[in-house]
Amino acid sequence: MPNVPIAQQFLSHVVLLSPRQILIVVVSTSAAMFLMTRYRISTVLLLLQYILLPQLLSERLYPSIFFTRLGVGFSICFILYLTADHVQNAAPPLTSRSGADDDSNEHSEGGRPRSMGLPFCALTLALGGFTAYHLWRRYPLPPMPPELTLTGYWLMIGGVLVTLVSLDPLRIGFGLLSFLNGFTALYLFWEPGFLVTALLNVVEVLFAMGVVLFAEEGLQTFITDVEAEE
Amino acid sequence: MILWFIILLLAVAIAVSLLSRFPLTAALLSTITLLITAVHLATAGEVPELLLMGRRLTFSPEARLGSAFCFVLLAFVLAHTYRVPQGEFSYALTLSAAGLFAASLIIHNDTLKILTLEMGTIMALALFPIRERQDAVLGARALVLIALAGMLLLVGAWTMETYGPEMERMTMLQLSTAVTMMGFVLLLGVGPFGLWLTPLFRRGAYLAGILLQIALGGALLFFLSGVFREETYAGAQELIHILLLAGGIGTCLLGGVAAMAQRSVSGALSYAALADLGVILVALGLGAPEGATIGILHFMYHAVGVVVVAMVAGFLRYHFGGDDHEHLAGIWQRAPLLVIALTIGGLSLAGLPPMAGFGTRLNLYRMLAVEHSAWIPALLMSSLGPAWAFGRCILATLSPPLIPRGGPSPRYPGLLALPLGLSLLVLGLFPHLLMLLPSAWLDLLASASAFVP
Repeated sequence: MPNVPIAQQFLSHVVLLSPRQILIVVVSTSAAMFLMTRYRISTVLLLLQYILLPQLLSERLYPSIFFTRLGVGFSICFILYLTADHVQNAAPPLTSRSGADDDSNEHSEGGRPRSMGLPFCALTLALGGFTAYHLWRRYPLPPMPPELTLTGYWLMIGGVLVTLVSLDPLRIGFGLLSFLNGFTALYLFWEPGFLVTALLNVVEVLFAMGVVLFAEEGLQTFITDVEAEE
Repeated sequence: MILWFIILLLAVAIAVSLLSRFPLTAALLSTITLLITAVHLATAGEVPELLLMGRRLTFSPEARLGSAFCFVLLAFVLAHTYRVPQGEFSYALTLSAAGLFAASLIIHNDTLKILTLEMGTIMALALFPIRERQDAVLGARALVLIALAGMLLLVGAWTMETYGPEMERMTMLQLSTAVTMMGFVLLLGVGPFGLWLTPLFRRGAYLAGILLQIALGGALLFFLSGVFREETYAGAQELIHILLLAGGIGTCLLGGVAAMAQRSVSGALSYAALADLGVILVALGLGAPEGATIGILHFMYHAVGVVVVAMVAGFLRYHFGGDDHEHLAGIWQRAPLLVIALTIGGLSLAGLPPMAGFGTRLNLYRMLAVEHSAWIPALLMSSLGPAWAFGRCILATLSPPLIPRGGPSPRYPGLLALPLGLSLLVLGLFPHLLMLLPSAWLDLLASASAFVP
């Protein structure tokens, strides 16, 4: 895109990390999201992804698109944080009130079954990382920067893994949005047009709202069940 | 103006969301809006094309008639939801999703089309009523599958647009065709078998199910017709036909077998609808103009059948507390109109005579007998399983009640479902009545030839 007014000069004051550093941070956030069971922290980690990923694409994006992506990230994480806060505060006391067996408590483990403990998740994560690395070596997608390719592959694989090992709508949602982050980062490199980006943003916001809807309604049914038992 | 109907639907969606405390007004307004839009679309002349932000928007006669057909069916469903509430914002979400699905038909850019379809699909999924915690997990997983399908379609579209003319990249083009078809299969709910669309019906999300089966299904088939039209590379059509046939046969078999085990109207509907979708894929995959016409006509009968049975199932669950054999016992005495509608709709979905669904299947069997007779048993399975499941449900309605019943059952839902069901019976008995339709409407079927090279 030789004639496109790129955001790079404008963003030279904003972008603080090198692509390799961004890659390391984003990969770490995704790994932490996979291993962690606290929803509020996961929201902050997701926000970090939304802040850092557009910087990897700064050579291709118009400044307006760059800042729109940031705005979308903040909006999504804000609504997710409210729901995360709600779920994290409401679910554990309700579980103890209902007298449910601790092993069956999905919320106490952040929506992950107890059988899939930390060792299992660490091994799965390692396998996911190996797959992402292998994909990156085998399909480097030139002329895409290697850092961007690896980040995209990693986020997509990590996101899918989170959705696969989760039993809770909110945690599945974190995986979904992480997956979408990875895909969008790769896709926007090829299709950085205004209309496509705008629609992609709307789709992402709708996905986030869907996640919030299912998480809140799931919590509501849980509350109703507990109250009915009492 | 080409955009007025989308703006109208979205504006009314906002209005009815503000009227959520007045369900009768919201239901009436939504129903009337859909009917007015449908009548206008079906009777309007040539619509001039529009350029919006450099993108070409056209509303072809086939797309307009297809949209009008879907809107009429949705109008029936929304009128019905006044008696079977589906949530506070069900009218607003339905209108928005319908508007977005219709918008995808007018956009001449695959990327924007896919993104619009994805938006509509998320809106429709938001109609899924959460009754248990498991429903919420199912909804979230469905979102993941929609995202995956969208990604596959976007990648496929991008590869085709970028490498279409480069014949040396044949493997990549073939791969992108397969990726695109995988996206279609995922969004249609055909694969992974029964993972996301089927449970919607089984768990009573009949409004979401209808929107996704009928409106999204129709929009996807229309999108697919565009893919068919373009011979992007040598052998593209053959590959698409093979994938459609394989997917269709598999869906017929699995849907038919799974339907046999169902003991409720919702369960029978979920797998019967899937098996019937398999029949449509087989018809389109034959690669002949007759097959495509049969496929499109069968999709229309399929849509009416799904709507009729879903309306019945929704009312049974809401009014009688369930639609399994236990709850169905004694329903014949309480709600005969519903049982008649269920019988006609169910038998049409199962493809049994003398319903409309049988006529199209018979033509398909004839075509298959000439070239691919080995596949006929798979298609027969898609009839046997649903017929068995619906037959048991219908017999259960005749048995004495197992659960004590209260006052009289309202006739309104039955009166809405029955005319649709009767249309399937009449068209099954007298298929030539279709020829009485205005010639412009028959173009919808003629346009089916777009599905073949």
